[in-house]
Amino acid sequence: MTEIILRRLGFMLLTMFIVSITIFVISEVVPIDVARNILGQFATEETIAALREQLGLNCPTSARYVIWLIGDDWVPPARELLGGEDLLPSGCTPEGLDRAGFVRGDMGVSTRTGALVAPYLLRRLKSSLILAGIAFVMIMPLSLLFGVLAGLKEGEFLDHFISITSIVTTSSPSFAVGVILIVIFALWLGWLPGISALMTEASAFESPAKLAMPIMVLFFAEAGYVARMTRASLIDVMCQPYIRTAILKGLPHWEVVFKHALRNALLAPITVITLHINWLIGGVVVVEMLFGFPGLGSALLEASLNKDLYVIEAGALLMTFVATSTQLLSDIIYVYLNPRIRYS
Amino acid sequence: MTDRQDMNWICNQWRKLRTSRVAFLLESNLALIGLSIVILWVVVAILAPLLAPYAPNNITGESNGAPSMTHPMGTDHLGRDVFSRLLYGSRSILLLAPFSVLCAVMMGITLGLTAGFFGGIVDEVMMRILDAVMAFPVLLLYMIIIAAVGASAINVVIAITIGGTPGITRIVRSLALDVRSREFVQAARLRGESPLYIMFREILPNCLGPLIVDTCLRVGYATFAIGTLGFLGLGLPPPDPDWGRMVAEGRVWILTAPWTVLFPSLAISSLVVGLNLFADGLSEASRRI
Amino acid sequence: MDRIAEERVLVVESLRVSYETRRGDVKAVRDVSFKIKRGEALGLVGESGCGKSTTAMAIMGYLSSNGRVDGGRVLFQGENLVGKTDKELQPIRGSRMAMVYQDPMTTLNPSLRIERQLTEVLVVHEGLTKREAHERCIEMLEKVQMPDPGQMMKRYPHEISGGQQQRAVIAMSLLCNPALLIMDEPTTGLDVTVEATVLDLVRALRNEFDSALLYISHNLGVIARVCDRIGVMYCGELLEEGRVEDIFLNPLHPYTKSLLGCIPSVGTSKTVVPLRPIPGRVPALNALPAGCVFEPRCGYSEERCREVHPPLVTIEGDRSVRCARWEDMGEMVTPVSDDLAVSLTVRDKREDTEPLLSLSHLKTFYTDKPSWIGRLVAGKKEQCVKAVDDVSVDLESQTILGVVGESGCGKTSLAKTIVGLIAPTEGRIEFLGVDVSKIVEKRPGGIRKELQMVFQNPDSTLNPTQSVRQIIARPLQISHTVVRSQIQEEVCRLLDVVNLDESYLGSRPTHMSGGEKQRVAIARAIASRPELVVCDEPVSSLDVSVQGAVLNTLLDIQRVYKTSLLFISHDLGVVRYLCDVIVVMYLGKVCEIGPGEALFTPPYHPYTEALLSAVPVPDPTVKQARIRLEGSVPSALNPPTGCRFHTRCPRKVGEICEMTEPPAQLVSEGHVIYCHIPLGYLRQVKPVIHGE
Repeated sequence: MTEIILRRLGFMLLTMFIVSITIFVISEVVPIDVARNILGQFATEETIAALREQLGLNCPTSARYVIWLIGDDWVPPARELLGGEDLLPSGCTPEGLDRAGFVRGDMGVSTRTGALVAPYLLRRLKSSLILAGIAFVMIMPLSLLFGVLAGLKEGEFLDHFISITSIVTTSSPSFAVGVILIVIFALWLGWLPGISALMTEASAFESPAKLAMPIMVLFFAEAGYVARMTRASLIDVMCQPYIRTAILKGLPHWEVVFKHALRNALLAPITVITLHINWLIGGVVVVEMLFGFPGLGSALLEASLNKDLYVIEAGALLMTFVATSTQLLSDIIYVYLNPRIRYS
Repeated sequence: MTDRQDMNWICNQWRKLRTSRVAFLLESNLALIGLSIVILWVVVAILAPLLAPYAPNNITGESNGAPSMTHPMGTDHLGRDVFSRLLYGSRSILLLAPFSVLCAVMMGITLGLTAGFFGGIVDEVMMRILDAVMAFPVLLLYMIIIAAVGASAINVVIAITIGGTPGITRIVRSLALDVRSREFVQAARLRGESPLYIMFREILPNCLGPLIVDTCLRVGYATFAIGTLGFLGLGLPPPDPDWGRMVAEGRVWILTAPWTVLFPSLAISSLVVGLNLFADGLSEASRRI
Repeated sequence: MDRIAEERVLVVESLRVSYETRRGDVKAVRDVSFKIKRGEALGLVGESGCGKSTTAMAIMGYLSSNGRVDGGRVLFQGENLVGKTDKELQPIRGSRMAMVYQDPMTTLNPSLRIERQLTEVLVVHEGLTKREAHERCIEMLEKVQMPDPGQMMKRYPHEISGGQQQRAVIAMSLLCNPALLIMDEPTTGLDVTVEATVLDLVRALRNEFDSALLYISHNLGVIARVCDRIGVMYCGELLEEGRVEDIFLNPLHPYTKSLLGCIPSVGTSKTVVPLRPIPGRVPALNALPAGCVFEPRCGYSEERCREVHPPLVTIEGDRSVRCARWEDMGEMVTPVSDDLAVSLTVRDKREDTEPLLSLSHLKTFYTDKPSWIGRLVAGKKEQCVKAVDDVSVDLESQTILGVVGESGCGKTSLAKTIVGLIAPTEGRIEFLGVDVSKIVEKRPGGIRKELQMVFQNPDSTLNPTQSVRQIIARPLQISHTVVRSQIQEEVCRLLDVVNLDESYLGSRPTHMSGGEKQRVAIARAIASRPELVVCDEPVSSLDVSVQGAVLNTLLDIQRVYKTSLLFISHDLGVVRYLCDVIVVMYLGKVCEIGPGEALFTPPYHPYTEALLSAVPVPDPTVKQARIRLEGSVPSALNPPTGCRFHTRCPRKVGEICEMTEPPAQLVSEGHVIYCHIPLGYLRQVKPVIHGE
């Protein structure tokens, strides 16, 4: 068990390291000029050059990466120690950018808004976590239930109904589902409010009605998949020899299902569900864009469209951290639930 | 030597009940429905110039006009006919999705076979890299890639190929590992066959079955992804009709002119559902055989 | 046997079972009738697809959704069970009628402890409390000779050995003292020595509980040991039924007779009695012959056998047989064709020549090196499985060398190392005078083609996407055995050698039976005309009637091409029949090596002795000594010190067995025993099997 945890942690650190380098490299390759983007089409060459200087964009990528990682507030003292030599190439330490570096928690400054990245992203992360949490609690038990029902009544009407509904809902892209739901619930029935431009983090949670549709869209996207997997797992388990043994031992049917089958059937779905927490946190960009929800995904999307490098970096690393944590959680749960591994 | 009428055999026999080797697809209603939907859209895509009343990018009506005799699905915010844009939009998506999946499959087969056959350090390194890539929600991956290299048809294909290759590599690798342990591969080694021969003549032909089914599923995912990318503004650049982008553009007027978003949404949903129904039916049937 | 009371616990009358498939109805069981009295044991024997398991399932009322009982009755203690629903059957199942299955690992629920799985039977059927049930279960576990029952209850199934799992399942079935116990191949898949203890247990339990026992197996030897009566099934029909002694000594049905004639037994060898396999194959259930179902393969058939389906005739109240010519059976002389008899080895004896294959101190270890994290944090050590530990054997040319042993003895690893699929850890392999102690990819091409292999599993030994022609032609192309233009001809010739028709050329393996696939595999192996063919359990997954054909094919090849064979098996009977020299292995070491006849008569290595006494012999008149080993084979990760066998050896001398490795003792020319017990003492041991 300990080995698994340590392995995952090591892997996580390694991945984050590689991802951070990759993003820096990609951004170097891309031809979009950040400064020009910010100042608009009518800016003069001088103002653009000045902004570039101010943002430290004339610095070579490798130096910029190092500064980003470990900051540059150690440069002046180091310079003094080493007798006044310039450790970093020119243009890399413009005044006013006193940075502590990512490893010490300073995620830099957004090139678009000029605000600190860390508080901004963490606020967004918090909103995403809450939404993901609510969605998870509402979606997962229901989908497991549907999956079990479909599996038990294999071949009958209930099974066909649940299976087909599942395929249709999970297949439809979430923006399409969102649109259809908005048309039905906000336009025709008028039960729920329509979308607003952009909710702030505070206003997003003030009334449950605002969250109803985003959660419905998430439900349609996820529930079907989980239900079908549970169904497949249950059907597979019911074909196993040990179920035959239980039946031929004379156990009543409900006892066979609940005490013998479910334990083994739910193993796979539960471990996969934990992996989906990952998706619920960062992958719901579409839902965020459609309903104006201020989450982590939309923050990243905006940053990508505007080449806001530090936001992209921090956001991507945050996502990697979340992803590997959920993988670790999933591994732990699997080991815990599966006696074959736990007691070997 | 055991009497094979044990539990699993019994269950399989029951599933084989409705299967016929040649006509299995036709007997699976779901697969049939799925296939029909897909074929319908393919026909539409091919005949788009004949079926569309207007050119897709021309302004032919009032802004956000309701459905009428001249514009059966209304007009969008710039006054372009939604119906024509819908028909033309099917072309790009039906071209890009299978093409990107094909690229992903070719890459995936090469990588997966290599990892599965050679094993050892090659396998370990490749798997760690793939794990890292797969840890990312795919959408974010697309976003970062396209934001980096800009939006165009080729880049969309590249993004989807990169996003899809790890999954295919995983599948090919596990199939390859399974087949590699089979005795006819050992027999090939004893004959002194070269690694290339073993990979492509002994192992690959035996992986094709599940791979084909997975590929069909992936075309569905790719379509899904292309639509979503369009919605997020990362797809084909305007003014070409792109179903996802149509929804994004019309989103603001959703309450006043719902037809601008409703019809593209239904279109893309139907296509992806059709693809998935077909792939699902295929996988059910192949499991029975 | 006065414990066999008159009460008829189970009466099966004209049972018919069919399955609905897309190709129409398949009549899996047709007109099967038998009765079992209280305390009596009936063995149902037959090959794969004969319907014995289906019959058992029909009795329990557990056919899949597309199976149904078409006709007949199943009278259990007077009540007809046919047509009852699951709800009606539930109180009977597990309490008055119980079942033991083939593979105990999959039979037990991996997520529940043993205690839970045992006690729930009593809680549901007898309404006991958990505590009372727990006590009863401990008692029962003691009766099935389970070591440390208290501990066992707390374990999960994967934590106990195969033999212990099966005991748990047997205990589970006997908890409510059922009137009928059905056992479906309960010992298949267990090691021979473990199987022997389980069979002993079944016999002991029969004395204590007077349940009627329906025992299903394909192994006639096992049936002879356990049952009073035997029913022979073939392709869904019951062909013969009667007392065990009567059937074995005086079989009346040609099928039974042929079946007995094609089982290699520990007493016979190829030079004494040739195996007579049954030609042809079992008909498909949807293409049954009009008359007698066995007629197409029967050596005694007549016109009326083809036209009329023979009824089951009862003889002397005690026996029944389904054959039109049963009365003539006694006088029939089994035709012996000359070409089947293998003449005594007429080898060109080349004096003082090098052996074909020479292994010196060969070692193959599998090491598991944990990552540095594991070692640092979890303290994991390097683990090493010593699969083959210091084996030195010579194989002369034109000989058949057999390697026999139970699971974990290292025989498969030995085969793979010799052939080059695995690299040896230490030691030397010399083949045709060349040092080949490396992996096959590094061996010279000329040597590679002289050393080929036939594998165990017929289902995965051929590439399913290639035709037979491609499969056999490929090695011919690579090894350039013949010129290109003659490849087609050579392929046909090879098919002929393995007794397959030209019509197989275009077939794919998926359409072929196990025996046919294995023969194609043999053709592929000999295509390059190798000097040595290593055969790793090639007949273990085949039906008995087909085994003989494959074994005879191997003998033909050896005789005609002067090929040598290294034959690996766990089946002593097959090895005795086929091999000139036999090596007995245990946990990676050689225990005994010698010519066939010498090995099976005293002096024995104690392990060989135990093996011989454990093997079920299909002859109820034979007396077998009863030597049983405790426990099961220890883990190869941590083998015992000194003599590996000392933990289970019934003849253990003392501390010397634990401390030092046993020395080689030369018994006679070519016969060596590795044991501390002095030869003089071993020579005086009584023979294990007598009355042959």
